[in-house]
Amino acid sequence: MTNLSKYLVSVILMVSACNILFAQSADTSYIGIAPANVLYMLKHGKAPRVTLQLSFNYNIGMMDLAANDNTSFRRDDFIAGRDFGTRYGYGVSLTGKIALHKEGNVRLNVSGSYNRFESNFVISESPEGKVSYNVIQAALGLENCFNPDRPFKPYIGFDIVASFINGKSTFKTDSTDFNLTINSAFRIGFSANFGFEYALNDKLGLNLGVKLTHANVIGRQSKVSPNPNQTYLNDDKVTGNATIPFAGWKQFLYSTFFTGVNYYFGMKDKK
Amino acid sequence: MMRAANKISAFLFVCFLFSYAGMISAQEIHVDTIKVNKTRMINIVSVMTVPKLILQLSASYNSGAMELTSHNGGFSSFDLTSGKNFGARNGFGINLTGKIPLNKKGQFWLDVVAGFARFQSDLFAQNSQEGKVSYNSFNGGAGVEYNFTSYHHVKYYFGLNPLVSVISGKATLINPNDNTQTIVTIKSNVRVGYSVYMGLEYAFTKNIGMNTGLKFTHANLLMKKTTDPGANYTQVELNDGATSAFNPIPFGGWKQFAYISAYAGISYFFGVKVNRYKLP
Repeated sequence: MTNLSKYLVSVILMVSACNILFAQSADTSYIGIAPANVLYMLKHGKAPRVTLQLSFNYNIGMMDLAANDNTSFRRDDFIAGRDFGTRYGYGVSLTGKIALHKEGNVRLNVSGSYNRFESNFVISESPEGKVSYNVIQAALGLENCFNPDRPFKPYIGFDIVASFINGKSTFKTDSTDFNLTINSAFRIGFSANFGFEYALNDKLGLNLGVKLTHANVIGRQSKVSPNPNQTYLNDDKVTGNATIPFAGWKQFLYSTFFTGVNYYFGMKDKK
Repeated sequence: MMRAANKISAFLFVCFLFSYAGMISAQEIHVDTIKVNKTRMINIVSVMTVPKLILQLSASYNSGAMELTSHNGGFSSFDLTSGKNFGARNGFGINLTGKIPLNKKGQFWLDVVAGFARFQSDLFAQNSQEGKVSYNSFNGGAGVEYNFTSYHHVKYYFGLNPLVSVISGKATLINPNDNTQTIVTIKSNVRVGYSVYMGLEYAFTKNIGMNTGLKFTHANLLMKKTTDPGANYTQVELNDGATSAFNPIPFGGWKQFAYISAYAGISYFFGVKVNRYKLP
């Protein structure tokens, strides 16, 4: 047989085989008509264009914000700059979530929040004194929402956080109490969060989640205040033999458990 | 011979072409006499069933909270011996979790957990001039989990389980004056606590997937205890119970063995079937 005839026979066989394969490629087997719950799963709604989220926070300090060893404020540790002197806090956050595309999975998050830490919050006041911090934050970040067009919307997000941190402390003495003001300090950090939203209807929903915030990654500084009743946040390392009151390498890091309400704009829930 | 083969091939090719051409022309011209098979579109959807059992193996990074931390990121011998804190901050661990569905829809699950966590004062910390301390915690427990989407590829859940932990450790204390070292063994102690967690599993196939999540563990909520080791201590208990300021006990103080874990790992799903339904 010549090459030409070999090719022709091969082509004919291949074309025939392809016809057989094409006929078999689609698996049309099924066990029955889809029941109602399966049909419900296939229905999709319309993802919200904007979500406003108001959350209330319970904060647990970590690393150097997990002070109060043996659940008691320790004045010496605080003055030596070994920790921030507090452990627990609370707060409130307002977050705007703007969908960056039609499907609504990726959202731009703009947040403003206020958190307060107190050495005598949850635990009783120490005989050595107390300290408290106010943390006012603005954050900008991205979030991925896994089911934006469904009532139940889990999400994971990451934010860059700018914080203004100030505080106040009182040391008990035998005579009059010594009051100390912690001047406002600006720090930049980040937060990572993971949570759920549940839409009760097209407008309102609930949220629940957990967030880890490291507020002072950038901008740490330690310096002596000219006023003895005032100090700076003093969260940077002190090198050499210098001694700066309240100063030490400290992480303003905390976990937040949050819950609250959501308001949705432009959402159409599946019915 | 060669010419005959060529002729046969050419004949086959022409027959093949004619057979197709005949079919086409027959469909175009003799519509009224030929039965034409109409193409019918059907939509089939595949739905996974709830797993009969999930085995989840995960590794974790642990960050200590409350008294399971240290100051300025370093180890303080005085803080440990005076019982102010556990002296370590960072750790790692591994967990094996078995999950059994408690109802047909797979919303509620019984979780059986076994894990190991280790904390070291010299993990991610450099300043260990005063020594170091490490803890090993073997733990196990059973609890309940709520799964939001058990029959989906992505399964979101949160849960809570009581936890029994066996915690032991070892500390090396360095005397700054003469650099002598004292080795202190922290004996095994049983404590009861809990874990709360939330996370997700992603099924790559019907059987294999990955998992990730966050967990908060408070290992010594119950059974805290402090025992005086005596003057020359080389072996001490965990000593996490409260002591009196007037009668301090070495290593003794009200301490919480609490930590947050960020975990990730693989999941194996048993008994998952893929049901195919036709859409009406």
